[in-house]
Amino acid sequence: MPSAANRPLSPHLSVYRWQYTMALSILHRFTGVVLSAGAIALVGCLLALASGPQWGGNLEGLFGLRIVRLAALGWTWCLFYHLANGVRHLVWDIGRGFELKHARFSGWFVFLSSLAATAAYWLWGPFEGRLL
Amino acid sequence: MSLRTPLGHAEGLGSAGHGTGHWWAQRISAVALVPLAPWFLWRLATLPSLRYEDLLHCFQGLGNATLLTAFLLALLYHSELGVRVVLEDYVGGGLRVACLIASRLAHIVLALAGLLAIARIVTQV
Repeated sequence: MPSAANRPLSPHLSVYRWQYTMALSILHRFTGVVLSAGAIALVGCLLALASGPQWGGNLEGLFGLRIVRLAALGWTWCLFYHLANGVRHLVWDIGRGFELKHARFSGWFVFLSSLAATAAYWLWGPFEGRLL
Repeated sequence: MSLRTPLGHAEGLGSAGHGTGHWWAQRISAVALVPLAPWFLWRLATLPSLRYEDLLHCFQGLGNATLLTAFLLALLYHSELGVRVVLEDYVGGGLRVACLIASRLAHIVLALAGLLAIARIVTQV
């Protein structure tokens, strides 16, 4: 048995020079947590809808509030980002896209496409931009 | 130099004792969500309005209700796996176990509530 002192330690994050790919990685976690919080709201909406017109009828008014619409907008961006970056991770999982050039390009691609998808979704998707 | 004992190597379960189970579950739920999440957004995007009748109608068909159930369960399962990793990384001491238990129970309750809500939405007249 090797002694505990010989075991390799995970290097501390602070030894690395800051790079934007790190921010992308942290964003993946952050958006994941926001999506989890949104899942609570989603179940809440389903419960309201299931409780009949008295409760379900309030949803239209609820999404009439600007703050709620902004939260929904933020949630959809988190979803698009986490989805795109998640696919990036799945591609890495099959062993592709690890070259520095490719990883940097896919990082920018994921970030910009998540912004574009969110903008397109809210401009042309639900309610044709009327919600903002 | 291998740091593994021969027995540990044969079992292949790693120091946590779970092997690659968590990793695989996260990938499988992720793959399920790749089509399900856009489907959900698309369903909402094609709503005529947010009125009660329109919302109800949107998910009442058996096909849509099935996909909504699949989306909800995959989402909550994936969420539980992800939140667990975040808690394990950032919460220490005795609080960690409390948070892990609370997160798991909260996800189970959300899944049950969501399933019951969908069942009622489907049968709503």
